[in-house]
Amino acid sequence: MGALLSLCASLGATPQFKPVTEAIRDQAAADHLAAQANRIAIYAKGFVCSSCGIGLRIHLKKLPQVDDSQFDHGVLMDASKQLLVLGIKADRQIDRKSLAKAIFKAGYESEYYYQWNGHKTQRHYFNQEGVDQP
Amino acid sequence: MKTASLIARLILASSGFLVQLQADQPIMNMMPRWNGGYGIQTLLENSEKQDLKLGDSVYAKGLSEQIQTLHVQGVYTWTRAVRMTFKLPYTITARRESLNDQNEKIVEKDQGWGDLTLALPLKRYFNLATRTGNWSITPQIKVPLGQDTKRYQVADRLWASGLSLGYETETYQYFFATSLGGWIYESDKAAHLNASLDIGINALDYLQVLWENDLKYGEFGRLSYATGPAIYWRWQDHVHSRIEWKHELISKVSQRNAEHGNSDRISIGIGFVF
Repeated sequence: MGALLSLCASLGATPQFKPVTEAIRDQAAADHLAAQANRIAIYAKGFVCSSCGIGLRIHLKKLPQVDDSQFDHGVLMDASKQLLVLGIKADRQIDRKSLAKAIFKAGYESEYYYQWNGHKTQRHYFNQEGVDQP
Repeated sequence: MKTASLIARLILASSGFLVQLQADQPIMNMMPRWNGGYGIQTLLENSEKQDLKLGDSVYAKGLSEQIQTLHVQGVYTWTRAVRMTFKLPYTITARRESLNDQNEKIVEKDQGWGDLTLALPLKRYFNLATRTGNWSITPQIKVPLGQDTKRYQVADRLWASGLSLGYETETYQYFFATSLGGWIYESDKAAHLNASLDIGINALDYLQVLWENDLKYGEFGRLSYATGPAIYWRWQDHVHSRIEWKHELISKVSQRNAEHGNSDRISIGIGFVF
């Protein structure tokens, strides 16, 4: 492990070893949404590696509700918090079922999502809204 | 002289004991885990074995073997649980120094396409609160793409079947993977087992630094342990690179046949995934 850390240092990389907690994820979601109603942030369980998670963007960007003018093809991937931030088109309803299906096809599970409700960022659970894992 | 002659003949009959990226799967041993994902990668590998050995002893110091190989590999993922891969090596140059019946140094060369390896990695993924991973079982088959010429050739030119079991897990900070596998060949080429253990740090969002270990055990006392660092980095969603170097710390070749040992191997590759 020491050799790996030395190699990281020689590459100019400083790994962060602070594990993410729900409180940290909540705060990150609030920062990403920044009082914007045309975005949602989704906790994709298991999404800890941006390279492995490329399929998330590949599957999510195909959805008609995703606004590809925001972020990179409509999807911002924050593997450090296991969060996906999606731009949502103003004239589209959020289709939770298609979101959960796309995340499953990418190899992950969708637990809950965050949305700005006009006053604060609120957490919603997919299964409580009738969306089970595909 | 009689012993030298016998060993020289056995060198020619021997098909070597090469690891050459057998355990890794495209793309970069990592992707794609998504339904309908596919990719292709090329790896340029340089392998150099320093000495001609018999068992654990150096039989002829400085008689080396150098092989430069271009690996073309691809993958298609149906669902996260089922994917198919192919691996096709092309020997750009291979040069081997050995001894003939008169105990004189001879130089042999080889070039051309190797054998095709097809694999069906079957994976069971798990997604936990702060980490992900999978268990895997991978049946493999090696298809000879040419005839055995009975002279120096890098490719086995034999049908073979293999099976490997693997486990890997990853957090945002760490990566761990281990595997155990083996190959059985159609004829009298020695079967072998191989095991690997890789640990890594996700140093940056697009950069992984690993330390990899490969252990290989075969008939007639063959045993090798190679270790070294690897660096993976992502240029963008669809373009990925990897460089690795491995040095053999243990290099016991066959006790019956003189073979080249004490290897160093470096490979650099680029992969495209969609």
